[in-house]
Amino acid sequence: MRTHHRRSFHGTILALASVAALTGLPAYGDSYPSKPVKIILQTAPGAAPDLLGRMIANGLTQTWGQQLLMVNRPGAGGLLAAQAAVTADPDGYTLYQATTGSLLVLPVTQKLNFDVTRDLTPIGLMAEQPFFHRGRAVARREHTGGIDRFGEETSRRTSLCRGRARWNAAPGH
Amino acid sequence: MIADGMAGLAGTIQGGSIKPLAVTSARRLRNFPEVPTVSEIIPGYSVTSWFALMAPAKTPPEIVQLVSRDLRAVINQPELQQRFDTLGAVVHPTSPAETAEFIREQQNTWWPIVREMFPPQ
Repeated sequence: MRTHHRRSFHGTILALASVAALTGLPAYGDSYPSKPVKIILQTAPGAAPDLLGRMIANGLTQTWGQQLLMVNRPGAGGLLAAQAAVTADPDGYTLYQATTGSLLVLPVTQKLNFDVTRDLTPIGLMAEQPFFHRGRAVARREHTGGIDRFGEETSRRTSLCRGRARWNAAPGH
Repeated sequence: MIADGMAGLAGTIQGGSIKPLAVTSARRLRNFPEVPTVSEIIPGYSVTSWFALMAPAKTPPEIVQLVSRDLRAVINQPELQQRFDTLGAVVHPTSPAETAEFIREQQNTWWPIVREMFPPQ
């Protein structure tokens, strides 16, 4: 009897191990998230990245039946938010809304005691916001060449355009 | 000529005092379909501000995959995309691996430019 029990015990363990191997899911896979999830971001409340992040957070709240909390940590060019993200418990209950500012500007302009590539793992893109090249309506009439003319201008002045675009893309977001 | 983000501009553009010449994304915007992209003149041109959801590095991969899947489901909803339109934002659903690749490409493009712009003091 004892031998028989041991065998079936081992059999159960083996069966469980096979299931785990097949699904690749650990025990908590089914239960996540079982409590509110925080999203840290460097944007102040009310700015576009904050509003877009909240729309997504509301969608995930509906999907999961768990609250998603936006934690705004503006300041120091995004350093405070990034620091809070890389030092958070890696348990899935703290996520980070990274931006062009935090991944493209911060690592170059500030000496960090962490590495955004090594210490963060990407989950997915949330949104992209393009820029408009725009002119006053009057200026447009003077530029009778319209979009073709704009193309020439842009070819000659790409670095200028990029310079302006990156001011907008970078630290403010 | 000025390049600026879309978020605060929609009203001014619709009022007619500012004329959008082109948009810097790779594709035209759904709510401004008449505005051409710069890439229609300069192939490959794409400059956007973007946000990515990330997690601390040691977060279990199963959770990263689960959140990524559900994030993509949320941003694929037409109702959410309509609300994004009002802020001039577009969705770009990516897997964790695609996101890593996207970020790498962006860093390769922009780090040298940012370095040039903010030389070490």
